Amino acid sequence: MDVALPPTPSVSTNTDVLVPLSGLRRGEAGVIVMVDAPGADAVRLKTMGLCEGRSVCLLGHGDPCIVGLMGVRIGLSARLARHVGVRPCPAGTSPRGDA
Amino acid sequence: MSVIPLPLRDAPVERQTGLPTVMLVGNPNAGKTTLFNALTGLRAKTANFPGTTVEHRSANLIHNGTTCRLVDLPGLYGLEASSPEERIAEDAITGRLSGVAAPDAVVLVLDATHLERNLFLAGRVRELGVPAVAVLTLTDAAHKQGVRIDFERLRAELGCPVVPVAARRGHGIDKLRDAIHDALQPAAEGEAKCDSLVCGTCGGCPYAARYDWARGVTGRCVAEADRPPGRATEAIDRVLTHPVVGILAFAAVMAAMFVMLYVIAQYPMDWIDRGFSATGAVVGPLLPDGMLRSLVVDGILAGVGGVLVFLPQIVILFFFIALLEDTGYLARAAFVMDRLMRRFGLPGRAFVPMLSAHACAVPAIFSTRIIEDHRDRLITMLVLPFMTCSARLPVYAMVIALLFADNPLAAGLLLAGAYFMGLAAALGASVVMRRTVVPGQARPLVIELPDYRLPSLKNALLASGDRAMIFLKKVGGIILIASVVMWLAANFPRLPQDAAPVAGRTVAQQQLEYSVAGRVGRALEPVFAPLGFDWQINVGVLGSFVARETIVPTLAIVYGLGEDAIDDQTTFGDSLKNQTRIDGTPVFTAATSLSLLVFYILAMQCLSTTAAMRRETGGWKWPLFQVAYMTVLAYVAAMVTYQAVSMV
Repeated sequence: MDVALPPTPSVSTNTDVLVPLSGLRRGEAGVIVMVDAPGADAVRLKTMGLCEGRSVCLLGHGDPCIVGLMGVRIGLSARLARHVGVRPCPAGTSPRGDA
Repeated sequence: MSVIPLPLRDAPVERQTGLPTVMLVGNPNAGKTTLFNALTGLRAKTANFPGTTVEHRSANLIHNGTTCRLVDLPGLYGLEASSPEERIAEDAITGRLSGVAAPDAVVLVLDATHLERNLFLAGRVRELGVPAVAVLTLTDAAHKQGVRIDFERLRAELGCPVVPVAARRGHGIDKLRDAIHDALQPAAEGEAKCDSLVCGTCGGCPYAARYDWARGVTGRCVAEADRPPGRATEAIDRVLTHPVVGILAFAAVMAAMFVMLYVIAQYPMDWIDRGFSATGAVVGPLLPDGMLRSLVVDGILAGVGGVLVFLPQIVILFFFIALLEDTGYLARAAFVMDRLMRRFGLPGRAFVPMLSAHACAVPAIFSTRIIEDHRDRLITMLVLPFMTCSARLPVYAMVIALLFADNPLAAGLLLAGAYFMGLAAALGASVVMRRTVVPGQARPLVIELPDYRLPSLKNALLASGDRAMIFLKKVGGIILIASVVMWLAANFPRLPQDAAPVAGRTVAQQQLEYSVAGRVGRALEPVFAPLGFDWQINVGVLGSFVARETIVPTLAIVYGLGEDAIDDQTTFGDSLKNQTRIDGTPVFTAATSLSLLVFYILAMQCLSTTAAMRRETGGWKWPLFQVAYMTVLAYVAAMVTYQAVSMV
């Protein structure tokens, strides 16, 4: 069910790999590359802004976790966060308004 | 997905008024309610869309000699039909919703502090080609945050007029009225489709295309978009969403709510109670002694009082919930409780109604509206009445007095056990129903945690007033009718005047025995015998289907103790204890008392709750299912209790 990604590194270091959104470090930003949640959940994620090409930032770990995007804070169940594939942004290039 | 929308035959909500229709569309938390209230004031009415349980508010808006009908649609993030609200909103905007006129214009409500995010929905609606007016709300907050918006540019990008407002202060509301008026004139600006968007939907990811568009527009129209987001919100959230501190804070908020519902609401409820008793005492003697007086005092006045007594809790609960929602805390409550509640197949937000149900299930069922997903909402409503509501307490007190009049510790433990059993039954029933009638899991949490804001007193007052009106209109009638029907059942047929007085029996006792209620109680003897109930208890149980607490006065009459006997708990308990069956054995043995307690913990015996369920699920299917499953469960559990204790 989870994103077909390399085993989740608990701490992402390489900016070329895909990690699940839940695998970002606290405060770390990334760009969403894929959303593979089942049917209706994918639609909900995308209408909430968790869609390919958006910049996100993990603001709080845990289940549910808190992500920031477009200047808004979103509470997200960890189960869904694992279905969102993110390419971490290099440190220091935090995307606009999300940190 | 079959979610609650059953036909509501009595709700021809949106009559064809012939007036032009304007719909208010926007994200949740965009300030839509405040704006709607600022435009319409007290004139708004809340109703369901025809054939659905999705609510909307509407009011006539008169400006410059033109009247239009303003309809506030549910708060939306998109029009992707992932929820009934979205499906109905899209149908309403596109004119496909039967019984609702297609809008002549839409008002796009955009939060100026989060423009990019709000533009996603705005773009989607603009693609539909309906004339539009865009309103930028919270412009005062945006200004403080250093956000500068080029309104002219935004107007060009959206192809419709843009009106900045600060709705709470009333700034810009008149300009908005003008703009709505203009949009309704033939050949108004804003009819052109937002062409830049349309091709984004024909290939690739339409969401990404719209968000790219929204980002582009924001980049061109907003200066200083790189501001850091609300630091205050972040700091407060560090506490309120903390895994430990957050739960403690939540417990404190809920405790405050519970005190308001359980303690403070008691005062107005007592006033209503006493007011109706006093009215009865005044009106009674004016009427000739006999049936008419009894009907007016015991049937109608008691029935109306029985309806109004719910109002304080409904008003207080909705006032409190509106404040929680307005401040942004409700989303945090859902956030911190989600993980725990999910284990039982319930969403995080279900905690608020479940706690409220410990005061009364009727306002609690209304309050399930805070749960977005309809299936989650349905399952919450189905298990709510297991909670120990205040109407059960007189019954528990009676049974506990029967069992442990001299043992406060045992009495306390039994009361705690009764509360726990109700809660366990609710959680257990939810787990079972997730595998049967409402299969699946609670919808995984995706929730916006909006910036904290000061709540609006006006919004809260309007919300609680609205709910009180809905209760009176849609539920009050059923409760009143049921009270009168129960009065008839307990008083007819009349005991013949020439009936020989029976030694040791009061007239009231003989009348009740002779009435429909008494006869049904006797007829049900074989049914309830395995539970240890005699026919007198059956009469009390039957009456309880209107309201549980009535069993106490009913038992007082049916055992010939007189209604005044219940004023002294101890002697009343003793009198009940002395009741014997025909064979001379006591009626209220430990087995019968416990069986009665278990029955009252689990049974669905509250017509007001059933009436509220009917209104909120849009039909009789789910309320009848609820009565059936809870009664069967109560019957079986009480029987097991009686048989098991009898054997000991």
